[in-house]
Amino acid sequence: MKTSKAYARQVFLNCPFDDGYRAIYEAIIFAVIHCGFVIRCARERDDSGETRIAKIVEIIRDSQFGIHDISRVECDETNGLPRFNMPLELGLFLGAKSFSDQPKQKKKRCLILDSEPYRYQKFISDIAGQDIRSHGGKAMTAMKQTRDWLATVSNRRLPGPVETESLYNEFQKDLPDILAKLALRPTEVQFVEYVKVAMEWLKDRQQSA
Amino acid sequence: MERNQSVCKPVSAFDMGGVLMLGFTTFNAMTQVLQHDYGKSKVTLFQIRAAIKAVKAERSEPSPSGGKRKAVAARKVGSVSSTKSRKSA
Repeated sequence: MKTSKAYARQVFLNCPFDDGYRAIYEAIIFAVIHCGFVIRCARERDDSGETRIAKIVEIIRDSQFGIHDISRVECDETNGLPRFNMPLELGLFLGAKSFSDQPKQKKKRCLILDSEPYRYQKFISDIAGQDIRSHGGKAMTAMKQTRDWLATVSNRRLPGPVETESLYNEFQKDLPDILAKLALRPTEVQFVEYVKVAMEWLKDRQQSA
Repeated sequence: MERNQSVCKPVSAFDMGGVLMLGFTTFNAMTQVLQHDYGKSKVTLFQIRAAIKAVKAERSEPSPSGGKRKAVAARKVGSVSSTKSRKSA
């Protein structure tokens, strides 16, 4: 098992983390790990001494690739306001690419996901021309979009989508039992815990192959 | 071969009394899972690996009744999970 923090192998994930989106982000995370990349996210650290925006900036700086899901444009039920965190982090990522003098930052690539095609034109039309794809709210579609995009932008040979989906289905069958042994409830699994379980499960699978 | 198709590698080179036989399995040697230090979490890598191996062992055991094996009861390996509600990003 290689240890690598190479810039070109890190993918920044910017997406909702509510229960309604859980199936999609779990599928995306699994696809990224299976394709041999490191998944990064603002939720990977919970250091109260660090402002969240500083944490996000650092992770963006370390990641050549970014996946940004802007599908959550609905107003919050309690306060009637939309959440702007995803578009903000997308803006930071695009800004890092544009304003940095570092050649490696110029190589940043991002995938923007929405639930419906062309819907972004109604609320964030400035991103036209970026790589924007729709997942229709379906985890397997989001997974395939992620895998296909990584294959295109990374120029590396990656597992086929059928293989990734097949392994993911097996992982999802094992996951409840694994979490039960770890005394973790499926709805309360944090980002880092899920990533570590997925990583170790895939490692175990590859060693058994 | 399609672009990005899983790479096949030989797993057995000799078989059947010296006749060269090649068996292939679909294993992509190009996509090793990369390690990253995410810092502390409620469960350690050791605990996670033990849980995965335990589930794997249970899957390979035949069910006494011959039917589908049920999920085992939770067993504490690490600390109890918190009840903090999840917030959207």
